[in-house]
Order: sequence, then structure tokens, then C-alpha cells
Amino acid sequence: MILEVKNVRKVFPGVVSLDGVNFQVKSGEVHGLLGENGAGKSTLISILYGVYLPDSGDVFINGVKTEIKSPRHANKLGISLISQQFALVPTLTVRENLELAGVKLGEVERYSELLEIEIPLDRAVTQLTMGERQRVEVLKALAKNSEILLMDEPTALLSPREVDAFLTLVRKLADMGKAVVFVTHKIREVVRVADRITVLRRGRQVGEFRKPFDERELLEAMFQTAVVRSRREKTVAGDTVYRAENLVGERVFDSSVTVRSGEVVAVLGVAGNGQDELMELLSGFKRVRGGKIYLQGFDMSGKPYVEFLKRGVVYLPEDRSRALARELSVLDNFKVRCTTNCREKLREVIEILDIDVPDVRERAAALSGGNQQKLLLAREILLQKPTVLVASYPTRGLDMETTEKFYKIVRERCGAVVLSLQDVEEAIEKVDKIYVMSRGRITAHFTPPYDFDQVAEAMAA
Amino acid sequence: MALETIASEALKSGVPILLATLGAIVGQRAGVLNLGLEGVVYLSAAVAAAVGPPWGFPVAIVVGVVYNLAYYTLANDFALNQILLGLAFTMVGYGVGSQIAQGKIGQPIEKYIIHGVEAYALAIAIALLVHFFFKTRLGIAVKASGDDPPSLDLMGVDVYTVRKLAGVVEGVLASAAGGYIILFYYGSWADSLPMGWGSLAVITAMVSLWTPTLAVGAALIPSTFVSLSYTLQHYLAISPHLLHTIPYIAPIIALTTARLLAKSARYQPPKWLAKPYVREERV
Repeated sequence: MILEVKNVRKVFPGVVSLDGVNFQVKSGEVHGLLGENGAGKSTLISILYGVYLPDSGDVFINGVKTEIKSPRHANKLGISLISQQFALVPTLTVRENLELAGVKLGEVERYSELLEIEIPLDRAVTQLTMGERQRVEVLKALAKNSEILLMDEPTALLSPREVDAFLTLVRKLADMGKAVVFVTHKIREVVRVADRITVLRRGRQVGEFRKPFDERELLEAMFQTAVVRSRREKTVAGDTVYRAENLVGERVFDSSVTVRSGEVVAVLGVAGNGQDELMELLSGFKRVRGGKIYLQGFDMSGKPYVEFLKRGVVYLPEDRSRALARELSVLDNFKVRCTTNCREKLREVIEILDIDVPDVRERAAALSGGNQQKLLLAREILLQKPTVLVASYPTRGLDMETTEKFYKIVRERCGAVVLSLQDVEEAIEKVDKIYVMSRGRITAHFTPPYDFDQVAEAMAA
Repeated sequence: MALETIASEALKSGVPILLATLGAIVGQRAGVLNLGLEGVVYLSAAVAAAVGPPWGFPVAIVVGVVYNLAYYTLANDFALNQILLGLAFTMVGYGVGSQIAQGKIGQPIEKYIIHGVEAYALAIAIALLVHFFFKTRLGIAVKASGDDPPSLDLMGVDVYTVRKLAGVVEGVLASAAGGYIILFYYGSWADSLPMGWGSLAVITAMVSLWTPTLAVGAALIPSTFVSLSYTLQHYLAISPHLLHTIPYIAPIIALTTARLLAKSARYQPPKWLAKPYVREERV
């Protein structure tokens, strides 16, 4: 089976999301779709899955011109999507979810044996790890006799070990004769798993690459100019700015974190191990149930969030929509913190962070996820000088170039930084100290030089 | 004597509350908070009174289902505010219902003779049906529609259809309750007789933590107090107006208690309760 689009164009108000893109995938291959945020990957996937119709250009299946009208229609044609947001109802069990999707349990079991993956049928989806949920999704797609599997940033929520297992699974699927479209912005993963790679940049197709891949070449294609990945420089750590001792929350127990002036510290862990709550506690957004927080020597334990803000704490929540008013304009969102010369200041930060904003009067919701994140960073970090920055997954959804900028800016502007991160490599490359969190407790901490395996091991434990 | 009478009365008046509660459970599980259920029960009761036996009951159900579906269409397909809709559907139900049944005021309506125990046993059987309904594919889809409609949509199941089907089930059960109130319970019509039952059901659905088997017990809380309030009038010197508020106060207390006790994930309110589902578009 061959799925192909020719000369596809898709325009959203103010943004040309795709322009003259050709793309093809056939049975037995993994076709990587690589690009930074806003490159048009998600739009292309949405067209292949029938969510959007292209403004111009055609879709062909086995050489026959076809209009994919809806996701349901795509399913009938043998196309499935494994999206970042799993199509699983968390409160139902795996079995109920499979029934709901109209999938034969026998088929699911057959494939799970064939691929040697186990799934707990009678557990509620909430109790599964992200990796397990994804495997359920894959089996669901297979049991529906899908020939083409579209995977949108499939490794975004997985732990390092799960990523490894998942990439192996993707190769197996191709060897079984399935066609896989693997969307990602992570070069290393796509190089490992793909047979060929198409790179998109700002809605245009930069090129199609075949094995053997050259990582450098791909990087240049993604960013036009090569990004130099900076290494963490040796920082001279100053006095302790921030100290949290034996914090207790709902799902966090007995966790201590110390940050010295000028340091960037990361909390690592598999999703759902309490990092989100720890960030809320550290920022003062949520009151601690036990333990002490000292900020520049002041006892802040039990103080309300406004007191933290007054002392220069900045908190970036994991969910951007909590910090941005999606229905307000970009400018109005900026004005939440800005009082004078806002238009000019906004223009400045848009320049610095290269935010893709067609019009500052546009709703914040109309920006792509990565650009929303940049806007938030601009408002919270560039506009003021935080004494302590507490951020939940601040670089998730950012491309490499912006990630580089993010670290540069926070080092310049923030007194001290605590981040929760997911990517072990990123942490090793960028931060001065790593805490590993597991089941609500900090179970290990590392200082440079780091050993990747040791850190990954601690996360898996 | 009093105790037996109260028990029998409580069971008899518990039947319509249980039926409407089961309906409200299905609706609320699907993510729709139908405050207009009061109007549906009232209107179908009025239709049953106006038509009278033998056709009053089935006609009441047809009218009730249509009325209920109108609510579901406006609340979901048109995404209108459910609080506002609920108020409107209640008031329209009162107005139209009173008009339809006007001619029956003061006239006896032929009443089916029933016994409390048998009637309630039948209602329990229906509760079991609803219990097993939630295990079918459609039932699972109903639960998913209340907990996570975006996922349901992604699976290729139409959320609006699922919610309307839940609306049909709710409509049948609520209007059966309305028909019962006139044709089995009172055997007469007065404007105030079918009032309050639908609202009670909305609360009782929450008290029973959206679980049909628990509803069997929960429906008896207000009905016991309804019959008590009639009986007590003979013995106590409390204003009947105040006595009549007890059936409403008791479920609120029960609701508070239930919420405090129910920590298990199984008994959490549907996450999308009272929220219309609109597929998210980037633009």
C-alpha cells in the first residue's frame, strides 16, 4: 500500500502551514518526518488522517486519487494515528477501551503475542505508564487491520528505556509490512528508526534523505544554518539562594532541593512520579504540608503564592494554557505583566526569541504550541529578572534552536533555576545538578561529570 | 399501623424517583446535566393525565422523549448553557403541562392498583438493566462521553450521537416516572402534584454516585421523607410548608456525606458534566 500527497498546500489565517509539499510512504518502510516546531509536521499528519482537507494538492492511495474526508474515513482506508494525546479514556479499563474502539480482543491478543508485548487488559488506563498506553494504541491500530500507522511525536512522553523499546517495536512493525510515518524533532531517534527522512522547514519541504544519514546534514536542513549545541560551561556557584527541606505534599514526600546562585538544577523522572507537584510546591503555588522552604535566607514555608512572587519567584507551569489566556490576544497576554511601552517591548522579544506571530492582535490560541511557549518565556523571563525560576518541562515542544536560547537566557537573567525535565541527554548537557525523582521521593542526585546510564538507571528504578 | 403505611408509601413513591434517577444517571454519565428533567417529568405527567388510561402512559413517554431530546440537541449540538436551558425547560414544562391537563383538575383519573413492594421490585429490575447497560459497548461509550469526549471522538465514535442516545434513555425513564406519578400513584391531577420529582432525581443521581445499584437505596431517602411529611402532619405541630422541604434537605445532606466518603476513582463525578463538547480547532 502506498500513501502519497502531491503538491499539498494548507493555509491558516496568517500562516502558510504547508506549501507545495510532496510526501510518500509505502508498506514495509518507516518514513521519518523531521522538522522543528511550526514546520508543518502536524498539519501534514492531520491531512493524511483526514482532520484537515488540503487547500490545494492531492492525496493518492495506491496511485488512485482519494479524498480523505474524516478520521473515521481514514480508519476505513487502513490509516491509523497514534497521537501525542492518546485516544484512550483514562477512567475505563483497557478492555473497555478496546471494546469501545470496536476492536476484536482476539486480534489484539494475537498481535501482542506476535510482537511479544504484554498489556494488562483489566487495569484502568490511568494506572498504566505512558509506554503501556502507547503499546495499547499500537495494538489497537494493528487489530483494526491498519496498513499505515501515523505516529505524531510518539516518544515525547516516554522514559529513556521506553523510548528504546518503542523504537525497536517500530522497526518490527515495518518488518511486518506496515507503513509507518514517524514524526519527530529528535534527529537521533529518526536516524535510528527510519528508512528515509523528509525534512520540513516553515511549511516547505527542504529535502528527502536516504540512508546512510548524516546527522549534521539533517540538522542544517532543519535549521538552515547549523545550530551549535553548547555544552554546559563550568559555572562558579555562589551562595545558596534557595533551599527546600523535606517537603511534603499530596504525592511528594520528604524531598529536599538546594540551588545555589547561578546554578541550573534539573529534576528528572518518568512522568507521573510527582515532579509536577514538586514544582508547584517549590514555586509556592501550592502550599506545602510539611517541610521548610528558605529563599535567600527567609523562611517562606506556608506563605501564600503572592509572597513568593514578591520575592521574585517565577513559575512556569507544565500546562501552558494555565499561564496564557488562550482567547486573549498575544498583546493582551503580554500586558498581563507589562505596564509601559508594551508594543515595543513585545516587538523586541518577538525578535529575540523568533516567535512566529503574524499579528499581535491574534488570539494566543492561534499560535502553535512551541510559539505559545516562547511567548510565555518572553513574558516571564525577559520582562523581569527572576531571583528563582521554577519551571515544569519548559523546553518540551521547543525546537533545538530555541532550547539553546532558553538556557542562554535563563543563565543570563535568572538568579537560580530549578527545572523539571524529561530528556536525560538534555539534562546532562545543560544543567549543573540533577535530582532524580521516583514515586514522590528524590531518590538520587548527580553532579558533573554525569554518566548517562547511571542517571537513566536511577530513573527506571 | 403508621410504620407499615410509611414503608408501603415510601416504596410506592420511591418508584418514580428511582426511575427518573436512573435516567439522570445515564444522562449525567454521558456528561449532560439535565436540570430540565423536572420539566420532562412534569410534562409527561400532564400528558398522562390528559390522555388517561390506557394510552396515557405510552403517549406520555413519546412526548417526554421528544421534549428531552430537544434539550439534548440544544445543550450539545448547539452547545447552549445547561443551567439556562434547565430553567427554561422546567418553566416551559410547568406552563404547557398545566394547560394540557387543565380539564382534569378535580376529576378522578382511573388508577391502576399497585402494591409498594411489587412496584419497587420492578423498578429494581430496571435498575439492574441500567447496571448491565453500562457494560455494553454503548454504555461504555456513554461513560466515555462524560469522562473524556475528545478521546471518544478520536476513536471515531460520534459524541453527539452517543449523548442523544443517552438522552433517549433518560427521556424514557423520566417520562415513565411522570406517567407513573399520575396513573399509578395519585390517580388525580392538580398543578402541584408532579412538581419536584424531576429535581429530586437530578440530586439523587449524584447522591447515588452515578451508580444504578446504589440508586436503589438512594431513591428511598427522599421518598421516605415525602411519606413521612404526610404522616407526620397528623402528629406534629410543624408547618406543612416546612415539612415539605425535608425531602429536599435530606438528599443534600446525603450528597455532602457521599462526596466526603467516596474517595475511590470509580465514584468520581463525570469530568465533563454539564460541559458541551466542541471539537477543538486551531483557528
